[in-house]
Amino acid sequence: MSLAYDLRVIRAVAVNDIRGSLVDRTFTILSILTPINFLFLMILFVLSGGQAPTAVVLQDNGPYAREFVAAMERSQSFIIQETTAARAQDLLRQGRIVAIVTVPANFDADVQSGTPIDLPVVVNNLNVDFTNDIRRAVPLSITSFYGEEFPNRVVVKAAETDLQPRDTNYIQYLSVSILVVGLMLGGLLQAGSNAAREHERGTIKELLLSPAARWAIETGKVVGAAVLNLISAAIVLAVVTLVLGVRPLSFSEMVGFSLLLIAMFVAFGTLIGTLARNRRTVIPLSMGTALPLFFMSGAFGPANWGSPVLAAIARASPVYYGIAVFQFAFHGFTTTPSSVVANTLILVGFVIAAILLSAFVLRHASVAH
Amino acid sequence: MLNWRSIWALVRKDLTIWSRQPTTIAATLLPAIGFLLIILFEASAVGRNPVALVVEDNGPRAQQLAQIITDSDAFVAHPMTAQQATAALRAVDVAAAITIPADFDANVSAHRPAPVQITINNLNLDFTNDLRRSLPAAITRYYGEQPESAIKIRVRETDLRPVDISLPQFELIPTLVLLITVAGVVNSGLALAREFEEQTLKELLLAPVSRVSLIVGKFLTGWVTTLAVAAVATGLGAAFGLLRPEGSSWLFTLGMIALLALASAGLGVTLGVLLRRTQRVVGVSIPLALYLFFLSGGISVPAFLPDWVQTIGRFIPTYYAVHALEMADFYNSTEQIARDFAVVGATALVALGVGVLAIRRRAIA
Repeated sequence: MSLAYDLRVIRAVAVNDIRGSLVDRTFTILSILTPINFLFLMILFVLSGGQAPTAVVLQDNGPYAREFVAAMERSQSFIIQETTAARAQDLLRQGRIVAIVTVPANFDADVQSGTPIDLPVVVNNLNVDFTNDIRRAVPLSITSFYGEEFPNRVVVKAAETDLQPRDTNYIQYLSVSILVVGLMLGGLLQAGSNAAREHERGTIKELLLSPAARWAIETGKVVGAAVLNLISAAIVLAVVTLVLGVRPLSFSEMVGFSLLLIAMFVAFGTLIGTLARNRRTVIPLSMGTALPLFFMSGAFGPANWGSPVLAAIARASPVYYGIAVFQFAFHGFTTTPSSVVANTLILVGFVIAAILLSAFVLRHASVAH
Repeated sequence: MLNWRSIWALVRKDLTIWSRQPTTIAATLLPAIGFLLIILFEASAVGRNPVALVVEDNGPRAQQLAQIITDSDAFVAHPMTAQQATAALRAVDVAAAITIPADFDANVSAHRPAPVQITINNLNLDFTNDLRRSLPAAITRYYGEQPESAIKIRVRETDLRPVDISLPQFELIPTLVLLITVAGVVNSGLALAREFEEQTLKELLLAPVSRVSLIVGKFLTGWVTTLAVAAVATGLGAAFGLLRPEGSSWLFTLGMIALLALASAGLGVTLGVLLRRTQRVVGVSIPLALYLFFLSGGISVPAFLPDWVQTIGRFIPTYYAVHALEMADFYNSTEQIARDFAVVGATALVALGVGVLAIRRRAIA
């Protein structure tokens, strides 16, 4: 068959899938909105922000006591609420704060005279991760306080140099990772459903009995799903850039990597749909794999900084490379030992492998029929 | 009103169909098992950042500080040369490089400023702030170990809870609740949507079976399948030592799991009646379960979330399920257990009522 014929097959399959999806409006809307749902959910996850809501009970209002509270505020570890001892206990009991720091009476006089001071800290030690943050942040405030007030007595200090020109806050970092999982979910859901629908309705037999090449059928399915996926990708990108204000350093790189990731996830979705053959399985499977993959692929920070086992597994996941290239396009830094060029080539390899694999599975399916 | 023979026949039929769909069962189990494994693997790494430690001074003070950094539970310190540290930073193998300079001891002895250099790969403020906190914490400890410490303020910590709860233990409870919610909502919703899609519901509605019996049958099937899924997760949690209530607390734990499974199954039945299509049921129910999960605190401590999220959380039944399970599992406590059981139980009853009402309306339609 000629290339022109194959191109016609690709176009016909793509148009058919787009029309088919538009008929089932409820599902199409759901699949388009699912990625944006994930974005909102993950932002909820991030809202905790790592700063401990803490009550400070000031039993001394002297300048040193005030400076100590200022040191706590500078530590970027607490959301401080000055209150009375009784109110602080109430807040702790209600679960509204996680710690009470009491600056004792005579604080100023004792600091001045060099008398040892006990600083009572009550901690709601519900979770050792958050508890350790408080256990480290209080000493940080103490050292910082002494460093400011008595520079000659406390001479050992941390002198910080940053590798990146600016700090990237948690929402800025995570929303870029969420973009990737959004593209993944949209691609898997849309393409997987399109492929499975042919099996459910039995129309796959007609396609397989036609003289069309298997790769052209699969490519048509990828193109059709990619067009629909572009809509959900555009919505998520718009929210991230316009609402959250996370702007890419390179717009062209962002667009290029988006198209690459859409192609890849749609190809994987087609593969899953061809294998599962029913939407009842495809949808929970897509959602079920997206979250764990997202969590272990360096969504919250470079995978290398976490568990070595998970980092090794993450290197086999396309999401890991997807997050890396997106972080580069948005923030200009790399989160993997491999370079951006290497990551891009690996992603291209994933796209080709997924299309070939789904064409192979489709060929195998025709034998079974 | 209730025909138990018909209910049993319905349950048996639905359980047979469910057991013949291993892919659907796997898809329901996958997210929570994935989460569980991630929690287990990440346990050793959370809160500990990999750092390169360059010690250029062999003096006793420098060595003492280096030892404190190495022993700290905030770092995974890798001793390196300056060049190796630079390469490790560039390769994103470490989050920071800490350098104790060659003149450290001399400067400390002479009461001159003795800065400890820390170069941070500040690509994410969460990690960066951890590092910014951890080095001064190590320095404070260093001063604390000096016979004549310049720092006179000592922290006197009182913990509200008798024991610290490890992160994997803490995260298991909400993950278990998520699993039960997803399994209950999806399995029950699918069982009903299938009846609509295959038009077998008409036969059921035309049969001499009350609507209540029909809904109770679907309810019980959803409950049994959810319990089966919950049993796997609970067993895994107990086997890994993450779930360890003692004595009667096991009773409360299992009771709450059973009640939550019932409430989730009820929600699924209602969604199945309302949405009537499998794709719609799955498309709505999984995000719904995830929203309930995150809004009720997710794997975070609710107090760290904004007030509005905390307020919404108090209207979500899974918030109470998580609370009851935490109390029973972590502290063998029954604190507010009656409230928690009442809320989740009431949710199950409301779901049953709405399900009956919805199917009655559908039948009329």
